[in-house]
Amino acid sequence: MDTWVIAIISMSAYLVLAFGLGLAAGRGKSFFSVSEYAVADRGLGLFVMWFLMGGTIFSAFAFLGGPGWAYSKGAASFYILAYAALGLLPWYVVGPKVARLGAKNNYFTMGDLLRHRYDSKLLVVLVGIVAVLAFIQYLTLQIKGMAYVFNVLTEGHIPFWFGALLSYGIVVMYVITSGVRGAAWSDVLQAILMLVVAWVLCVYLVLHLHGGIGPMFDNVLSIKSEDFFIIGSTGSSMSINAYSSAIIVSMIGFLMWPHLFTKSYTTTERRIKLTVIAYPIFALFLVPVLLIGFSAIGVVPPEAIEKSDQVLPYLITHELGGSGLVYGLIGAGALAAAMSSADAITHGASVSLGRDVAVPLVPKLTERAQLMIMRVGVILVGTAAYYLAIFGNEGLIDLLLGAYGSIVQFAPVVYGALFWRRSNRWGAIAGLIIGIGVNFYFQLVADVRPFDLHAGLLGLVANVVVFVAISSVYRLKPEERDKANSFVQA
Amino acid sequence: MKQPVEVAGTSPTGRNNLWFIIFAVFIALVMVFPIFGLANRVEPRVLGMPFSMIWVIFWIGVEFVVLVAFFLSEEKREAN
Repeated sequence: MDTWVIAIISMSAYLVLAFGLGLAAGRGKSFFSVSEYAVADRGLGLFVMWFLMGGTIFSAFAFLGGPGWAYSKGAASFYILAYAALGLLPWYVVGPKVARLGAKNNYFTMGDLLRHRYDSKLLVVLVGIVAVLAFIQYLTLQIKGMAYVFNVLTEGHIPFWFGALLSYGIVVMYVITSGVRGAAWSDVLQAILMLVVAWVLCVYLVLHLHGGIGPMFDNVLSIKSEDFFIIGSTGSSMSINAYSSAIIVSMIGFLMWPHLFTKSYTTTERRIKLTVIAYPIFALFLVPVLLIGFSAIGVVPPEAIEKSDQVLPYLITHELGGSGLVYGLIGAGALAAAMSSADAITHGASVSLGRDVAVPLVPKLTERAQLMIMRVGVILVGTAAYYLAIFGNEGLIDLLLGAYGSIVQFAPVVYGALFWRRSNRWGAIAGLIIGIGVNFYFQLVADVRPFDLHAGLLGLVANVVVFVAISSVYRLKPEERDKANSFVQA
Repeated sequence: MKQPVEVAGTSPTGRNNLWFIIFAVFIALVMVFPIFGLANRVEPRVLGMPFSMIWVIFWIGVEFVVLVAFFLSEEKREAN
């Protein structure tokens, strides 16, 4: 049998398994409950929770982009480890509080909380639009990753559009039927699979190509200069300010992704804390991904690949002896990485669409109608992302990229709602608009950024200044003050 | 009427959170400049890896151990 046929069979076996697990996760649970669809009736266990949060960050970016960064940028790729190690820490303090407020006031989304606290439709719709645009950008990347993996590992026999349709179609179906539980349980399978694949691949490639980690780095150092491992040096791809500010933005911004923030409602306070504690293990699991990238230096000629993301597929097809089963397993691992992020995002976007856009506009929606909007939303968001991944045009991609970088701008509004009595809607709205504007400008328009700082951090500074200034001047009405107090004390 | 202002760290939960925040900031600081500048070099190599890489991995390990200890002590205090 041809290599590519075996590869297709093993990848299909994985897809069937993921699909079955996703569908089974929702069995015996109410199909017509918003609480079940959105937050699993606030009852997800620790085991599932850890994989859900871990699988979501370990995306196509980590699986394909991680080795690419190590291969092309050297020490700058350690940013990925720091990001994974720090990103979830704020949740230890924020999560339990959000969970308490959510259970008391029946929230399902970040927008629910903000609408209640600030009493502003404009703010919620603003957050909702930025979030959905950012979600679509995020999804587009994952779908491209899936399509690419399918295409390369089947030696071009599965065209780009069909690989994407097949793997993402499965995600769409289990999200529609099983809601967050479908995403969570398929993430358990997917996270285990991709971690095993990453570790086995790392050990094999490092030993086979270099004979060990030490000799590998000796080889890398003999090809690249020491500067490759020194951030901010002349041969480095990142300045020290760019590196530091990217890590800080990730730490502040990670939890502001609505699909992650919303997970505060899916479980208990104790499990939130335990998930945060267990999370650094996930960061350590990312180490092999970087080692795979370093192992490619001196092996993959830079002119052989168009983009650094293609390092891992190149290694697989050129250094692993052309076994169909190996192709299939690695393909399944890479698909798992992309799908476990795509399901959580698709689900998050659909809930946002139902709760943060439809409900404010039509307050009297029944529960069934809300659910219907959410499930139709899965298809709408999915179709938009799929279309962009296959036919996306430059301008639209830029717009989405700007939204992607704007997520961190939610931080002052959210932290203000939870911890600062004086914060009010006008400060929140003005800060958010300024922050998003500054971020867009430095991300897409300006050629140089002050001190080479991350565009998101520049936006955040402007955002906080405006938010604090306006909130300090504004006089709260007594009922606004009472509400603010109830949030801070919750 | 002025609302009573609760200072972070005065209630048991507040105190725990304050310690947690201090630790989180510390872990973030060792991973960014200027402190990361101490480790921003290749030599000495540890386990074959450049020093800067081992530095990041080492602090992630420390982070995990401290978080576990922190959680256990919190549970114990709540049980009392």
